[in-house]
Amino acid sequence: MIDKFKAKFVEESNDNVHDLEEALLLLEKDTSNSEIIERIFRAMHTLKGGGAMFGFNQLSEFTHHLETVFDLIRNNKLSVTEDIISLTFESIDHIKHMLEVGDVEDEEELANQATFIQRVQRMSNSESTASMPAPAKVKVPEIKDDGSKTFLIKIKPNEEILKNGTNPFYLLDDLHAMGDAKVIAFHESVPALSNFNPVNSYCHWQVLLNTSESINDIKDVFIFVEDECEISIDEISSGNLLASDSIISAMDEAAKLQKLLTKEELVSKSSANKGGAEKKDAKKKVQLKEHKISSIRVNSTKIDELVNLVSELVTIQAQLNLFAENDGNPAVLALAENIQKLSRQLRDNAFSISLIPLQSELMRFQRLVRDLSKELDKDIEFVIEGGDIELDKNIIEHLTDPLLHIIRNAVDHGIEMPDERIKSGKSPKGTILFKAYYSGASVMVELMDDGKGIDPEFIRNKAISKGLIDANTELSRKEIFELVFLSGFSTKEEVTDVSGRGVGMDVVKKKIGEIRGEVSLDSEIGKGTTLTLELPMTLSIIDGLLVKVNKNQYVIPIANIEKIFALDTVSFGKTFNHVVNIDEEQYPFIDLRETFDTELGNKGTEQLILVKYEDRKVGLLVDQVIGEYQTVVKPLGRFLKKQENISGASIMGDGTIALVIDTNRLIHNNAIKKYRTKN
Amino acid sequence: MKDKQLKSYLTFRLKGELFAIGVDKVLEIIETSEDHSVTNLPKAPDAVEGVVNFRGNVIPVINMRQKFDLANYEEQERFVIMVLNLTLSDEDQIIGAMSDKVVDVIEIAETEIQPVPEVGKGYNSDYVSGVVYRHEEFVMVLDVEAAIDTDEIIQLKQEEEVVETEEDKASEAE
Repeated sequence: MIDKFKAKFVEESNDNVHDLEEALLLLEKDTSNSEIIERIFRAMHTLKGGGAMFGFNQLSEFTHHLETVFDLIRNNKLSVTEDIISLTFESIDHIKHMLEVGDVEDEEELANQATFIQRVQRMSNSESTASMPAPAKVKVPEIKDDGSKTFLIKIKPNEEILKNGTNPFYLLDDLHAMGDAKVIAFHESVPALSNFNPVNSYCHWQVLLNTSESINDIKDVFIFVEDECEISIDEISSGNLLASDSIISAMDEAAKLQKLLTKEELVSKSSANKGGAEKKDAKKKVQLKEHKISSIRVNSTKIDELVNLVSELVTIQAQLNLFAENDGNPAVLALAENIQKLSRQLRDNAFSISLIPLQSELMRFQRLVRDLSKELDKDIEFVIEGGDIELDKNIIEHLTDPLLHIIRNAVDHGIEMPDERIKSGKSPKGTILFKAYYSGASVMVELMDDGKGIDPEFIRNKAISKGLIDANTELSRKEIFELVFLSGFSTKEEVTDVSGRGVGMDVVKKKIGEIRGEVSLDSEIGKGTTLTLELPMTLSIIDGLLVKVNKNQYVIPIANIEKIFALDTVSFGKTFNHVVNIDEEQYPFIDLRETFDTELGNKGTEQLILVKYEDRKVGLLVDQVIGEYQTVVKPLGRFLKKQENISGASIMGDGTIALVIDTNRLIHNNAIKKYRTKN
Repeated sequence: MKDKQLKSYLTFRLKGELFAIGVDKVLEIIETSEDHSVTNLPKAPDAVEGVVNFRGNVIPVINMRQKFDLANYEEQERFVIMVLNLTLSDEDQIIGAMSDKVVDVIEIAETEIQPVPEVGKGYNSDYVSGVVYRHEEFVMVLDVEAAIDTDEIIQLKQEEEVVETEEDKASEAE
């Protein structure tokens, strides 16, 4: 049970840390924005409180020190500096670490932590005293009544509060810690022993608190119990009312009678006491508003399950359609049609749920660029355009590693050092632009840096020296850039900590290929490099063309198809080296019956499907084109992971299976084979 | 068949030989026909015949004759698919296993099972955990998990990729 809560806390805290990071990045750009500072403070406060509650005591302590720094900042006693931001970033990493490991006992780790805390403390101490003398910012204490105020606080927890692990006494302790406090407990609603439920809380309290903290600080004490308590905080007067005997006796009286103190009563007493000094309307009743829930957290496996079920429904629905058509009963047909409409809507909805904006993933890259460029003494800005573009979460997950690699490359090799940039007449600040946009059924992602670019000649020579191409091979500019994606190609000789981790662009291409995406590169010397990723919006449903090869049915994604030709076998009789002449143009083709090792039984008409492959067109020879088909792609499972040409399977209306062809890989594999046999 | 713990086994034939697997592993028997057969996978490992639709999920079908080095099926020869729920690499997996025909469900006591004789077998006995004599015939008790959980899985481990298993859902959906 506790573990469950802990896991929940860690999950929520990670969100908080995420938010913290995001806010900190904003703060870096706008150091005086009090809203952001408040946001950071709140996030830290939540972490602190939650940490203590769920047994992350070290986390709580650490965050406490960090919070102190930001408390000073938000009270204008400390100004935001580069150092503070950097240290806070480091601290966030440390917090992440602590969330992962929980409380530690390892001495080394503890010592680390202690020094870290010292660094944070130094930040708040030294800087606060340093900036203290600035007279404008520090409130001059009033001699008359030491700047403190007296509040009447009423805390009435729900009976169920103990079940959440909240101990109301800690709230009282927190209040005590803020200044002088006197507490009256009300226990009139405690039932007789026979009705008494030991896990319920029956008491409520009134606290008269004298503190120099603001009303907001008092509210912060209740930040976790807002929903479980009835809380009101009233400012009674300035100065310390607890020093007044008449007030104290009034409270004692109230405690004896179990009668709630009212604000008016106290105010009148205090003004009588003070001779009606200042009795301004300081009414600041905190009303805890009901808030509407506009979004809910759902475990992603539940969404996966939903999408899966919907996919199944779509399949069954296709079966129903087939049945209805064969049956011919108009009533059944009408029903099938209605169900089709509904299931289509359901499908669209389910898929839109599993879409998440790119933005969520990009935060970490912003952070990455920031950290890396600091490390390398470069000045780089990461600009995001189209961060609100949404993609299937599985695609986004797959995107992380390739993006990480690409961005690291851009920071490390792409963008030059500032002095170098000035020399070549550029602004010393480099830019990496992340741009996403819709293009048909795909989402395009461009990563553009304005760095030094890549010399195509250099790539060519490199590929020759690595034995990837022949020295005499004539290659177009585009083909040269394609070489970068070959395995065994890596342009930087030495392995750097930043980008060289033994993986090259070939891995990027492979990863993107796994989600049916494509990647291309373009570059101009002195201007920069652009990597373009073309991604499908969702993984599980595609529009496909159903074809027949021998006995088996296959699906070819329509997005890849250019044209379909019907040809008789005779015209292939004259083909040479798998090239066919159509409309005065020559196209290489792949005979799928040959590739899929099925016997060449059918001799009659055949159909040639021209598909796009990079910037070429390649023909695929099949027995018969059956028709267009919207299909749910199912994974083949781990058993058949090695299937390179097939990206999945689709269950047809009649229960048979059609395999989905990954045309890019199919052509790629075949091209390689051809190339090898030629040599 | 004495007093001891009895366990139910499904028996099936492969090229004349009689094999047995625990019924607790068998989910369903799929009859194949001309229209409803295994979809062949190009370039699949030898023992993988193809894929088949099992309750809306695509499951791989293992050719057991290949596994036991028995002569492969002829062009028109029919077979049935036993849908098995196996624990492979600590994960539940649903796979289909081809057999010529299923015969019976029999009860076997643990003590009845004898070690595999070393000589005179026309099949690969690596995956046979023991033999039982029944109705004047030897029945080979199979260790299906060992039979399936070999090279294919090892190859997959090298891929180091976690693939969502559809199979779990199918068993839930039941």
